[in-house]
Amino acid sequence: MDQTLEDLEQAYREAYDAYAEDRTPENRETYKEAKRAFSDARTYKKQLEELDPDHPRGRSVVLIENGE
Amino acid sequence: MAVTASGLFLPTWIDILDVTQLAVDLDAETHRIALFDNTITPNFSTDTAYGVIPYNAGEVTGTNWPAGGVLLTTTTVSESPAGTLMFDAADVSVASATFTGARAGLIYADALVGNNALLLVNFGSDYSPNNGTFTIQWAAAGVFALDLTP
Repeated sequence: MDQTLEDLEQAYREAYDAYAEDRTPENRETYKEAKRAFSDARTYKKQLEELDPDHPRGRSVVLIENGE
Repeated sequence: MAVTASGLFLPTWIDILDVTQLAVDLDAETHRIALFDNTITPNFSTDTAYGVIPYNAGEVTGTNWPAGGVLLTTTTVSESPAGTLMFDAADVSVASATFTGARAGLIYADALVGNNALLLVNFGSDYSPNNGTFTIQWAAAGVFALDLTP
């Protein structure tokens, strides 16, 4: 079943809260996996937007590097 | 006096990593971004916290942008791409905002008593929304990224 970015975000937050409350190895693994899934999906979405000249993110891409 | 660069604050990051063991959880949704004008002069080697020189003056506030700033949400610290530590967050977007002269955003650990300064983002120019939507779009590379395997 395809998950939306919002689904992945919710899963991440739930996993974070569960691990914060009960620091079992299982909860830790779930939290790490959920965070990875959400973070990767969000990054991919933003990368696509940066390539889209019709998207605000694509019209104005300002990459600020340390020291700039 | 001016903001000329973005950067991470060494005192805080050293305190995170040394015996001080400053308890900063970058995944927590408790970090805030406060706005400052171009009268401040950041020093990434000595600056320590929100509310402490130079961040005890020059703060930009206004309608729908309070003192202390707003929370960063859906924060993540992860590896992206391989070998690089990335801190990312949801874009900041505040509607019907009115304020003047925002030149930089100070991200700090609001959950800690010390309001420890994590990093400063230089916007590059002043931003003054007038009853408009103020948005900070973080790049796909995140709020900041550290290449640990250059």
